[in-house]
Amino acid sequence: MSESMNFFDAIILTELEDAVGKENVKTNFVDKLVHSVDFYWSPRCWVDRGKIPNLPQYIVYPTSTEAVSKVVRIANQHKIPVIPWGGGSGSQGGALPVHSGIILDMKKMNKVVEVNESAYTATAEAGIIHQDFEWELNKKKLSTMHLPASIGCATLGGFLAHRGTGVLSTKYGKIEDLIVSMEVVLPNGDIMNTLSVPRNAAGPDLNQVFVGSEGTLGIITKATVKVFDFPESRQYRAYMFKNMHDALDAGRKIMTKRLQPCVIRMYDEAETVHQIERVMGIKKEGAYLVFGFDGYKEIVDIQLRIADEICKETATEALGSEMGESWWKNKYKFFYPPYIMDLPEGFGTMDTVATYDNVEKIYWAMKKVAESYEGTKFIAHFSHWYEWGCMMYDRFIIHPDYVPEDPKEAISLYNEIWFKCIRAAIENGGVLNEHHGIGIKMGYMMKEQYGKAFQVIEGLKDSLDPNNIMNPGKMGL
Amino acid sequence: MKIRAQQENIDRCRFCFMCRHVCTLGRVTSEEALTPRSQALGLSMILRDAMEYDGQLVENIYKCCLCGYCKDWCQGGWDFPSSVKAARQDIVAAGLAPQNVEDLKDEILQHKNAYGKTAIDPALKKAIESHRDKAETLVLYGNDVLYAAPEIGLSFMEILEKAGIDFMPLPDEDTSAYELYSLGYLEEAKTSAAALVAAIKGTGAKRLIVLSPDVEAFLANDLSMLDISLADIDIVGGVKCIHSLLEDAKIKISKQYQKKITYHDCNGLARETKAIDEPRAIIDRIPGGAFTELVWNKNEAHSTGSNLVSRLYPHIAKDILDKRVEDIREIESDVVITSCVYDKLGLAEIFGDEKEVIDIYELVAKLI
Repeated sequence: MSESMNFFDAIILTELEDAVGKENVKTNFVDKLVHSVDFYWSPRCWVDRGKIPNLPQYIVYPTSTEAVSKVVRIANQHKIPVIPWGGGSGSQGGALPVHSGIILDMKKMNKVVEVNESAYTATAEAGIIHQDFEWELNKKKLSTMHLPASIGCATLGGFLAHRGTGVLSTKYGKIEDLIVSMEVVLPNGDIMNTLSVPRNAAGPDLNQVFVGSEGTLGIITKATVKVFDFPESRQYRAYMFKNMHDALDAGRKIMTKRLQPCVIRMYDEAETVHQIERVMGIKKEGAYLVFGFDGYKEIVDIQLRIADEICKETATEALGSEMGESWWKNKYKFFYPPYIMDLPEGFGTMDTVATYDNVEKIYWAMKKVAESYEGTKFIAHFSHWYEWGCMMYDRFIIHPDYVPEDPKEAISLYNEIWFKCIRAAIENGGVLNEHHGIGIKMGYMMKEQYGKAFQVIEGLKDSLDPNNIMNPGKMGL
Repeated sequence: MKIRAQQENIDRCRFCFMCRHVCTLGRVTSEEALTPRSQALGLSMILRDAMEYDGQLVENIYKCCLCGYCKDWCQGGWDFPSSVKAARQDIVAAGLAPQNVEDLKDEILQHKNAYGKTAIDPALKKAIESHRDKAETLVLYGNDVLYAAPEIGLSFMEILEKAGIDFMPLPDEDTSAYELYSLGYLEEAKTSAAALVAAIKGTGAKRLIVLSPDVEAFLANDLSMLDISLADIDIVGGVKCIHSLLEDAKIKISKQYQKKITYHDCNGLARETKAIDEPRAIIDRIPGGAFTELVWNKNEAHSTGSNLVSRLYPHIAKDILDKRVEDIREIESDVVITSCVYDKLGLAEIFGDEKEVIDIYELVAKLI
């Protein structure tokens, strides 16, 4: 028992231990520390400077939905915040215990419950690390096709909670497209299930109420998602373009011609130098575009041929399939240090999404803002594409020499750049975020973005969680 | 602080989640604090004087089974097990080693092994003593074979004898430097390693065959950290040695073995010395054997843990072994072939009569 605990904390501890088992409740400093830092730069900067971040009071590892319900009821009774924690790999601070409380680490709820080979669905507990889920499915030659870089650390519930996406989303959809049904523990402890199928005419889609709610409306405990056969063929191509504009236009044509690539990724000139060269060793000037198609080989061949024709209209160099395959093989390497941005740099990922007629405007507007700060550069790639537009995965990187040593000043600078850049995006038709979620980072701007529509989300929150115990301080709620 | 020299490693690992799902400890316990990034985060705070080695962090550091999966998986080339070893050295130097670790260290110093045994098996001892004549080839059995798995030592000797290889043992062999170093007892490890190396050199052997993959990896990777060198002697692992003997036709696997077999890659071979193909090439020569790979195999083989963790935290060790047993049960097999003592003993205890667990040296000796 922690020495800093007062007697009431100790009483709550006994209730939690009674609910989930003594071995599943932690109060020691180390467990608190590791649940107080995620992928968000600000707490990382904080600890990098040797400062202790906001800590939770308790860490609870439920092993069943009923246990989650019990914990939530205890939290409601005593009005203690509950923060669901999956992989802790969120970049927006969504799982941080900013108001202390109970971290509900879901990772012991990690079973694959069912694989339905007739309906092509699979059900798993929400705490399963997604890569483990994938590996189980792969044994049956199935896949969720949800393959983000965080696959080895993030959980199924985490992806659902913040509307995650994967590298194949262009064809297979984001997580909100993959969800079939889910089980949720409401803030009052009630256990509910959404309807068994995602398409119906029986009122608003409750799946989509909880998907993206980041633990503010309830805790996802189990989910059924679509799964797919391994494709007969998956082939890639890569091209260099003189500039981002040409590459973006080629990608737009591929999408608007409804060719259905499984993946498109385009790197602006800066990121081509910063990342492609570092990770893949390709030293080229211009914008790098890679795409892939998968499915029946005959169809893939046709799709590739047409996409090749589109690209060859404006590309400066055809890099062939080998460079495309190399990109696919190295797709996660970008996320390992030293390839990923890391302290002592200051860096932020400001992904946004917009229609094709607005994306370039947003790019230049954000770039102008970010690079107006000394020592700051702006790089971007475009990774999730739609028939109407695409997502820009842009980052600002502050050279270490320009990141203040004092963490408060560092965070102040960081947020200043952030708010200005995101406002530039919104002013030009973008939205706050495409797949990393809102968390703490963007919560401040939710009302600004939504205007009067925000009352719908607030109304849901007030109705479901009148005591505001569910992940308070997040999403602007 | 030894972890100071590991700062870049620690700082790179502290925020990175990319190996969490393969960490043996993290995967089996599902606990956030028992993953490389969490351990590294704690160590990074110590480096910044924001915290000290508290009881829980120390315990977590000793729960790591040093399987090397995180290091092998990392596409950035970071080596977190080295940071764990450095942290243990700091913990010991500060007098903060938990009592169970201290007790284990005392046991190793007294009895030269971490298996709780007090004497070398008499049959093995007798067989070893029959090879006291000087030879160019020295065999290092390893404390785990000498004290806990004599049948493996006897089998290996039988193979060398049938191959017509003259070899000698090391008198009063003591490879406990490996365990002491793994636990963080730097001075004790240095003393033991220096004695071991001096003894090896004193034999005048030109070639050293090391049966234990962990000891082989220790000699190759960690000896230099103790400022000790074992140059001028050709070191080869036992499995690679057997493979060469087969390739050179010095022995031949001729007996039929009509069994469904599989092979569990041990940490040391799969991820340290990279002897992945050789055991398979040996198995491939078995007449009648129907071999099926485990789903998780080669350098991606899930670990069974380690003997040190089994002595310090038996409940965690059991959970780790159970998980590997689940993997093995996924495929149809009558026999599981192993290549290190802990794997054999640990798996055999759980499988019991369900499946035969046999060391690769035992199997080869049986079939030549």
